Amino acid sequence: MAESSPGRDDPGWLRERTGIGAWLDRARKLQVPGGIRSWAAHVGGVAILLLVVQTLTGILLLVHYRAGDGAWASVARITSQIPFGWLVRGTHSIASHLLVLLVLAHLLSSFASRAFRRPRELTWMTGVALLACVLGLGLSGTVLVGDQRALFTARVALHMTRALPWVGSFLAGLLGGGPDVGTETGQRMLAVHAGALPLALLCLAAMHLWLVRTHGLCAPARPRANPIPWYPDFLSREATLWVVASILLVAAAALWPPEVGRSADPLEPTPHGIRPAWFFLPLYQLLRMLPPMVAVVRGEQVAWIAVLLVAAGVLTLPLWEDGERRWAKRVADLLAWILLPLLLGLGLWGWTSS
Amino acid sequence: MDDTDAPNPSGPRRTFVRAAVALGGAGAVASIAWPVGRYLQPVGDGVPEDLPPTDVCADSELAPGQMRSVRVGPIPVIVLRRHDSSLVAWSALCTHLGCTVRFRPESDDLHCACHGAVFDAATGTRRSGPAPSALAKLKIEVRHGRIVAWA
Repeated sequence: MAESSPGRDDPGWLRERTGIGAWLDRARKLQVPGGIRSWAAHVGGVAILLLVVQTLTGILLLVHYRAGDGAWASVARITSQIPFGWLVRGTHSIASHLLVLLVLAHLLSSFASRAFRRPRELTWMTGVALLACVLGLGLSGTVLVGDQRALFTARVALHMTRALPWVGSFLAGLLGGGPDVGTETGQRMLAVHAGALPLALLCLAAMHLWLVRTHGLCAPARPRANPIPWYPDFLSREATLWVVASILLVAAAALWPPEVGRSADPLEPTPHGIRPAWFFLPLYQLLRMLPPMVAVVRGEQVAWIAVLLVAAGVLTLPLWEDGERRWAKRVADLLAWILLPLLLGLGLWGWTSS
Repeated sequence: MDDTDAPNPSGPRRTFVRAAVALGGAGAVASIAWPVGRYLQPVGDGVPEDLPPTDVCADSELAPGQMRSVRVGPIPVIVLRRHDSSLVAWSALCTHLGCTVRFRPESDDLHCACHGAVFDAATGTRRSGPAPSALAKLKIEVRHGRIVAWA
């Protein structure tokens, strides 16, 4: 009788009902291409860990955060009064910077090893879309803080949106909720930051992981060794990194606790030396340098053209650099060698400009 | 086999079903997109055409070369007493990307800290930087000994 109806303590109970056994068996047999010994192969995995950290700390922040007019006061309260609020906010803030850094590094290493080529074109494209999501989260998160930097970040972002031809005013109204930055803007940024973008990111990350799982990790051009098992060899390295990254993250949040800037006052002039987050510095410097008009196009629109051209080039990279044509490889390398120093130079210039 | 029952990708019935599904799908999308779009419409107040006359300070309080910041409607405004005792009022919103400009008495200009636009304090026109146009000028006068600004 006991044999025909397995009880809840039977280890096969869950396997029979979920089919998890086959899944675990597959994972156990999974192989990773030999030669993937470098830490670069784990950057994406650590980025996933940071996504989990951001989701959890984000939910915690949402408990005490108030959008709109009370935003600054609630952030100040989280930072200085709520027990361990400084740690939750600090972790969320530092992890956000780290996440942008890791996604950029992941993209660069995938570019350098040409991992985006067939059949991994869509893996690359979902990765680029993930970068856009992470940048959008960084921008909307800055606005949520409600200090002076938040106000002027929102002003510049909305005016930039409005500078887009045809759809600009509509989009700016949609995102800002009114003609100027106000209570409506904070609430809408919360909807974007804690609702729309995380959902988009979750879907994209799921697609990305599904594609990685479908095609496996990209083998190095000259495999130096036999394939290694994913479990336990690869996974244990990844798990070690997760633990190290978590410790470093919390330590960094404790060492450099987040600050609360002055409350936003629309009457006060923009404070001297105000700057966006580091990942927007190249665009910031470009906006400072551009004249009001370039021929018949406004300066902000020239900046948009530059941003959209770079985005389109990066997104469609695997479609034209497919490894079949020599010139395409050369063009991709040349563009990378022009673009990277240019972005780095603009960023450094923006960082040091007063 | 009866030919009339064989699947025919270009047959009129197939075309009709495809068109019906496409039309129905478009209708379904529109019936969701329209209410959502309306729901998301901006609800904040627009900038009114006429900004109400706003009290700045007493005429005697503002010495030549001095300035006052004041909100006229939703707009931050900088009121300046020129050295020839005339009054001038500029919208402090930078015409580049909407940051708030600061009056610099040493160089007699208005400077935006965001992207470095500089405006002339006397005329409001652009001196340097990325701003596309001059600062918006507000009307200003002295009524019963008080400075009043409006637009």
